[in-house]
Amino acid sequence: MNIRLIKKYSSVEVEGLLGDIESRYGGVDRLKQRAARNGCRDPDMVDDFKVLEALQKGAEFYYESVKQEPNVAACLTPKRVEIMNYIHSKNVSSIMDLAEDLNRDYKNVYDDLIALSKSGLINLKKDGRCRKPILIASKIVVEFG
Amino acid sequence: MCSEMIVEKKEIAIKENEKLEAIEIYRDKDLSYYSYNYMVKVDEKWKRYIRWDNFQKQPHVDRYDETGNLVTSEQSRDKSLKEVLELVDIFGKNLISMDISRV
Repeated sequence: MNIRLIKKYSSVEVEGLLGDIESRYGGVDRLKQRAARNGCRDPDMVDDFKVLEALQKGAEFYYESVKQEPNVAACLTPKRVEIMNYIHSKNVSSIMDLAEDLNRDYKNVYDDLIALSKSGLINLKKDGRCRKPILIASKIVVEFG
Repeated sequence: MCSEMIVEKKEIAIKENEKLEAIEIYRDKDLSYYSYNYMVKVDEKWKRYIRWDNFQKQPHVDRYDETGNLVTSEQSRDKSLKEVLELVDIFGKNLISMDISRV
């Protein structure tokens, strides 16, 4: 059984990705020169250059993760699916906010988020003293066989 | 007319300690750039051992050692993700010691 996690990056996320690549290499021109010079000796740089070049031309960005872990599917209880659906539709800034919005106990929501995080379905990004839940996939496909 | 471009980044689990990382860039539905990286987890770190890509429109296959240094780079015909997945599925870690430019 394959679990496919698919996410289309929003324009804000694409901007973040662009900024991240640019700051890592000190600008596009520098990256282009270094990628042409180093080529196969620095494959990550080549990929970053090609991705940056495409994103600057307005490309859409899709991330897909294919896992063969039945645990991922088992992790999806109705309450956890509710959490993921909520994070997908609203900008949730902390676990506390999420628990309040869903009218659920903080500890239960926290436990559910840890389980989702361990299954690779969400990220808990540190934001000051809070941890912000971020959805890794906007679409989950289960393939049998 | 402005062409439509799509970047797809894929991480495909092969086995517990093996995965394929792929970047595919499409321009008007045609694949213009690809890189397929066969990675093995060693001491909790993912290491690239083999990579197929068509950078500068030259399809080739590269082999890397455990420290990430390029060992060999050979011309290859264009590979699709499906083909690479089949190779990885059939040969697994044996790919690291095979003459992969011929497969």
